[in-house]
Amino acid sequence: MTATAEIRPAGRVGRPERHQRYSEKSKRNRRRLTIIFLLLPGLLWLALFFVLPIVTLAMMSVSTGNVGQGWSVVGDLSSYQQAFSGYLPEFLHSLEFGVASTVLALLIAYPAAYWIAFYGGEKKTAYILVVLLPFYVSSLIRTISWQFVLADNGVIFGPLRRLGLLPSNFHVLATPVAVVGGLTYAQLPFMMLPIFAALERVDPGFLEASRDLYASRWETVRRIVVPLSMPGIFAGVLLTFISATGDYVNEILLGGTGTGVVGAVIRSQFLVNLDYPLASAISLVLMVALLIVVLAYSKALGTDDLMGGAAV
Amino acid sequence: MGAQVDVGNESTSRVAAGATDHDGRSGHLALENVTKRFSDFVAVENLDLAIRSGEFISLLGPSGCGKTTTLRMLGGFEEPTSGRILLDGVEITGLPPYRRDINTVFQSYALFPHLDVWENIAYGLKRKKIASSEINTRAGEVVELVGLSQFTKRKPRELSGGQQQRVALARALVNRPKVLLLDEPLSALDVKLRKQMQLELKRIQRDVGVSFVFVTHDQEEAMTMSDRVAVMSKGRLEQVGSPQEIYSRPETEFVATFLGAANLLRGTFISSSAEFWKVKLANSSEILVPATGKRDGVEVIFGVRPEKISISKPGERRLADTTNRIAGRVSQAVFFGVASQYQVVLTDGTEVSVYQQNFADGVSHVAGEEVELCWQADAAFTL
Repeated sequence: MTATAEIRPAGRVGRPERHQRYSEKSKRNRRRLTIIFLLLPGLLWLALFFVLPIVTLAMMSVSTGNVGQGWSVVGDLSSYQQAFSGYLPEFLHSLEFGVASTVLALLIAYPAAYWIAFYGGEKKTAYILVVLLPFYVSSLIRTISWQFVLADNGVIFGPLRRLGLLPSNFHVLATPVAVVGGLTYAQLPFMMLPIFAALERVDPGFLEASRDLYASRWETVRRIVVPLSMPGIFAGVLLTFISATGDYVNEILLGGTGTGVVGAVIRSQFLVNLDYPLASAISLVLMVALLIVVLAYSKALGTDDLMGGAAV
Repeated sequence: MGAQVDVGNESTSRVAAGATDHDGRSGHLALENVTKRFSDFVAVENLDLAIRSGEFISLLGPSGCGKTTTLRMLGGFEEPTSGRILLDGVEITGLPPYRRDINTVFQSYALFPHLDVWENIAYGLKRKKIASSEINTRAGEVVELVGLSQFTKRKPRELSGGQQQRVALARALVNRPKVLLLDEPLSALDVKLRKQMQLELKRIQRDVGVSFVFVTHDQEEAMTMSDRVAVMSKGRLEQVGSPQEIYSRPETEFVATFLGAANLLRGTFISSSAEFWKVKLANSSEILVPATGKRDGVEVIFGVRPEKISISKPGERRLADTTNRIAGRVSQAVFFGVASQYQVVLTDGTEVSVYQQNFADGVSHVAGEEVELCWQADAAFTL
């Protein structure tokens, strides 16, 4: 008997079973409480600034009335009808500009991030700071500066025009090109940072192994580096596409007639026309449209591969 | 097993079909006066080394001795600062890795994490634009060879360390390189698995007949596996030879001490015969050493490994003429099961260590005891 008691771990000797079970249970309860407390701030934040506004927005979109006399929720769907029939071109512009600027930002950011990640050496952080530097200036100021740069008589096209190098009907400002350019520029760091973070995690040993196995530099990028940096590309594209599609500042400052975007419509319906139901309906339609695109996109890329790339 | 041997023979004969070397096989690699400098640091200095066709050669040395840099130059990942590298007589010094018939098994394996075992193995063949039917045959062969047939659909992270190691080996061998470079491929494995993989690697090397250049800092591993061992220190080649040669006849103090314990002693040259030099130790006992070393003036440095010395009570043994005998006193006796280690202090204060198999229970001699140390004159080596 004494022998068995000695073999047992000291802490358990003589402790009643019932007491042990009780303490297991209380431990589990405590763990559950901890999780709840840890989640609470986030959940409150979500409820206050996400769920509540969305519900309000949804209710407003089916209301009638006006600012002076107040609104009543009546389940009126005419705002949605109006949103689809009246603003299809703006929706399409937004999507076009969003896709175009996302693709451009990806094409510019990826090689730059690649270079910094694999050839930046000890100056990596410095290069990233340089990329971010312009973004310490207010986005409004930056966009307005683009007006000066791209204006018909601005610093670039002015002299060229005076030298007779440009046709008289040549314009960049107030065209889709300027809007997409402005959006691309504004989104660049949001594309670049996640891609850089993903590339930095790619072991340079994989590049050597690929070269050892008869792959050219380009094949190595295509077969090894791009698949392994997919999580970064995925994140960068999402961040860029969502905010570029909803953006209206670039369109207002750099666009012209025929470049109207849905963000600008929402803004003017809310702030100028005070047609809250219509503005709410358009907002919700845009949200749902974005959600569909994003879901299709993540389905197409496949989360399994994403995880595969993130591991190791 | 039968299938594996067949695969080996087939690969050997195919390699032999493209033979360019004098002994009928390809895979002859030569480093000629190769130096590699990194800004102010010389990693490899004036290295001359010929790797024979189909041999298993180890580059052995402590970390920072230049062995990995040498391997990377062979693989094409580093350019020599000066000197030439030739494969089967053709200079490959400036060629990128993908233009050399040489493949590498990396220390960390560098298996592509997003590809499964099969895709990893087929990667090189696909880049070489080999027909897919042949890719299937060849990848199938090496998968058999390394015993991974059931794991082809697994991702690298779903494999154990030993299995990953096999994939790395298969991924390199499937390309039928003339030379395979292995950069400490077993260092990540635990001791038991490492021993097993050493034998396995040796078997695979014999089967495929490809020259293996194996980098390691583990002298036991190098001696177990290699036909020849090249010992490096501080960027220089110290000695090349079979494991027996470098162990029994080390030419430098570094080689003598790096490959296991050695008692290094100094003496004064007295006379020489055909085979031996007669040398006088500081305690004025006279002994014979092999007449093979360099001799600066009258000082002779020689070494005896602890297991080559026998320890006994004074006058207990009758000895041949070519046996050396010196007196000493045991300062320490350590028992470790299969053998005991004795530290013996000679009359001039020199300490000599001796291993002796435990014929009886426990140690045969105790501290303080007067003893006689004997060894065959040709069991020592002269530096």
